[in-house]
Amino acid sequence: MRIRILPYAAAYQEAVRAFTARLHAGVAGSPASLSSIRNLLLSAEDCRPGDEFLLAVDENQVVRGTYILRHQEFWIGDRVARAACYCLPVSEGIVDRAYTSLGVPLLLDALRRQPLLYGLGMGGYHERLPQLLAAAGWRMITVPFYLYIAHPDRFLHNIAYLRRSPLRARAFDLLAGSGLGWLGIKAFQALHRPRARSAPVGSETVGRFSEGIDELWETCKSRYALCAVRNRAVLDLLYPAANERFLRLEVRRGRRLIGWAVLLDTQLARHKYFGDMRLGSIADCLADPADAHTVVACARQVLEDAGADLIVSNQSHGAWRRALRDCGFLQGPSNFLLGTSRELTRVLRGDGRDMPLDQMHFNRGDGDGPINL
Amino acid sequence: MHDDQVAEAFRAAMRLEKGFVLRDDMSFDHVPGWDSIGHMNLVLELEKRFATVLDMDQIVAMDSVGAVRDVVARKQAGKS
Repeated sequence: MRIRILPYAAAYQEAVRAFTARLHAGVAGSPASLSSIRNLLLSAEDCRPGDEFLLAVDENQVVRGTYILRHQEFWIGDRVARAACYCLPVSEGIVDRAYTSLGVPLLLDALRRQPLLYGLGMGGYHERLPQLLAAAGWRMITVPFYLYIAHPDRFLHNIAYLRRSPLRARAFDLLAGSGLGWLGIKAFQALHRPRARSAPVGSETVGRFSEGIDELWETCKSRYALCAVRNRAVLDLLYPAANERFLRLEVRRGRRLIGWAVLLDTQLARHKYFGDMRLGSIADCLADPADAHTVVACARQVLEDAGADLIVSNQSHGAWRRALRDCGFLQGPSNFLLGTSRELTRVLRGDGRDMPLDQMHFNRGDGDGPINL
Repeated sequence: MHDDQVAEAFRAAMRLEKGFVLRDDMSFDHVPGWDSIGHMNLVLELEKRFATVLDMDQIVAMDSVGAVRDVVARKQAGKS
């Protein structure tokens, strides 16, 4: 078998369709592979401008694997460098053992195209991809997950992740019915109420981020050791005005723009973790670290006012994690991983040690995109 | 010499039990732990033991124990 990895072209549209059809058929009824289903939806339409959609094609022009290389510019210490996210790799190996080895050349091809490579999300250490990256010598870190319970009763009745046995479900129902759950959660939140600020702060959701975004980026980038470039052009690309799913929040102190966030407000149905809750999500955000608290407080308020039962966020940087805690968020179990290639890990290393996670600003906006939450 | 090194690479990459006997006709289905992660480990083990770099065709071609031996033998022959 000879495999070539080449960029997607319209001529391969049918071959990609046939590939995904074989995967769908192959994983049907196989619980172990269900987490791969998401990847099977991959097509050229999933790509953003600037992404490379790559195909592993055999000598008969049959597609045997695909992945997306999502290029992003990052502020690293004192300069902007190009890196890429290794997104949604999938090979025929998940349904046909004859192609077991294909995950390796896919990864090596991506590294050849961009040695400064990272993976984000990936569903937890039990999944194949993070295990493969770890085997390849990547540095793997868990990006913390935070949740704010806006409606305790709805949370207790719907949190499928915690209600995994009849006994536990009954216990959560009792907590909800007795009011004890509500009392405990609200008491915790009362102790973590956003601090009052001296200068008046205002926030508004906008159809498109304003021009002040560029100035904000220029002034606050050097406050991060590592941060994806988030100027106005990038935000327009990642969160296009035409996509009404994104709530674009701008936060101002007086007239000055001090931060922004991209929020999602989604009514879930039978979600494997969150049941039927209305889920708010802080998917992406930026501010001077000193203003992170203010942005999180505003984002939380907007989502609460919109009716969210639960608000979640994955954040790596220390200031954003503190901000979430100070605004009443609890830290929960995270399956959101960051993997950095050997070369990227080396570039990020300073003083002979790996860059600590709390100096890197990563969230859901930096990976496959806030697809699920 | 190479054969022993190949077998040792398999043992290390797949964490095979001591008594497990490798045969050339064994493929992914017959060697415990030979999945995509095992394959990545095998590639790295071979590259380390034989001080070489495998290209994509060679990595894909290694679909049986015998095929791995062939790839390594050809790499080594190309060196000398």
